[in-house]
Amino acid sequence: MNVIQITIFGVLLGGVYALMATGLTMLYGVMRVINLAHAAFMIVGAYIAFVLYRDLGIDPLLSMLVTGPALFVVGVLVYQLLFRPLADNPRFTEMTVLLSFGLALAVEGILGSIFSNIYHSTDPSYATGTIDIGSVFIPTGQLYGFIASLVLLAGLWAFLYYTKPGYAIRATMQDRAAAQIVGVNVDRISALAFGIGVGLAGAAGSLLSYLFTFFPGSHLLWIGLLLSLIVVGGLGSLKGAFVGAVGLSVIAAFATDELGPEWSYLTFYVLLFVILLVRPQGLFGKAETI
Amino acid sequence: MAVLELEDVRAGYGSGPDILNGITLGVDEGETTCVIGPNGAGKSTMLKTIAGLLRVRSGEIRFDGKRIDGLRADQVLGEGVCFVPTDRSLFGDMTVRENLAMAGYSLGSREVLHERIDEVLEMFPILAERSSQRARTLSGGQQQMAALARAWILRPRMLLVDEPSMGLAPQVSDQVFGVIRDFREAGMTVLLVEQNARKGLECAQWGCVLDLGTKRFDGPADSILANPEIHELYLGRQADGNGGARP
Repeated sequence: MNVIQITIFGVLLGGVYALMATGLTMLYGVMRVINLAHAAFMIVGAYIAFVLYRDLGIDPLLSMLVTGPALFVVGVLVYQLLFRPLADNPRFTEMTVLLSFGLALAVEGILGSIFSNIYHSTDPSYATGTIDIGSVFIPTGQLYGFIASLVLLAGLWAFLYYTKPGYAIRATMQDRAAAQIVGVNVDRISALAFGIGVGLAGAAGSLLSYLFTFFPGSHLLWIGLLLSLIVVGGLGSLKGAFVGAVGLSVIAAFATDELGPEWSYLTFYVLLFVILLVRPQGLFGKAETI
Repeated sequence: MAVLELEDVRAGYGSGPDILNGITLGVDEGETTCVIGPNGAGKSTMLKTIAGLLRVRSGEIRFDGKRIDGLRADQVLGEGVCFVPTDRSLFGDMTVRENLAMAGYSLGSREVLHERIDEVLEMFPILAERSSQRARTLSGGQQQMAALARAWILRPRMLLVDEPSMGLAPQVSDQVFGVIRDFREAGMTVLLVEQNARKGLECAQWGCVLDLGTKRFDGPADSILANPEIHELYLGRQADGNGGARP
């Protein structure tokens, strides 16, 4: 396959990965939570999109308007009920790893009992279409997914840079104590950030529903991939998540072409090792200072 | 009249021991009170506790007669108590101007904010010069100025400052103490924690010696400076007057 074609595949999918990874890295930035249930919420989003598509014929791209807000509410509730009570604990970050992993398994169990453990996906007409431009072609499903991801990420960016709560989220990501000192109610901002993070995962689930097949346990594959993206980009860095997602996705596309699809997942982890050897804080992460 | 009152306050970090072992202290309105004491005496912990960043384990803190212990940091700020910590707590990735604008988070009015940002940029020409630089690129002294400028924008009734001269060259720290005097002259009450006891006390009216989490002594700042016993115990190493005793 030619280079342009492979790059197109990598970039389009990378944009969707960026959407998936952004919520995860933002949550880490705002409150040092590594939410291992992030991908499980994506799968919840995918199942909601699946049901809406199957029963009501709602297009997956359109159902992002449902899955996003629905998972936003779930995110706020999960924060208030499960994470907030731990917020004062000095071992908060460590505890949330276990807590969110347990949450992921609980979500997986619930989905399994409702939908059983077989593969699902939605099949809107554009999912398998292509646009031919000379010798290369653009898969329409991935193109729409890429555009939808960029629109959402641009919306998030505008929110973070031009609104008061957005400023507060950015301030909290940079320095939680300093944000409190200038009057930010970091507790409320944390709930908001949790809602947005999980909401983005839900919206990404709609895209996942037609770009990939999924079953309740597939969140385990996804969370590994997403963690490698955000660690490469630098934990807590939104820019890093985007660059990491698109960059790694393009490289993985080339690896798939050269070596076969079974090497695709491995590419992410090999790159993770290499980049951490050279730059332990990730591409855009801040080095720990004393 | 004491505007800030601490009564038998105990506090500490996480599940660790009490760092503040029952502090009782009053800070008079419109005055600058300087707290001195050796490392580990609990000076910074006391400020963090007043500011709402640390929970009070027992005892009471009152500001203007109203209990503020148990309030969150943003609520304490809402009562008019503004904290400038040792690390200056600027947002390193934001520009100087954005940092100043963050004061607007609790100020409410946009017009007042912009008016006051212009005012502090006039007060601190160096910040005006650097206003579009990221805060992390500023020198220590400039960062301290920016942190104090941000506090100035808020016009708090009370300013808590933790070791403003930390890591600064003597000339720069003189400038910083000058700004702290400006706060008092503008009618604000200041509670200052300072390792450089002499300079701190010179800019204060009242002084307080803290050791092992309790108040050992308090009195007029000049009498503390003149007290031979306190001199021996807490000021001795800086008796040359240059404040160069920090390791």
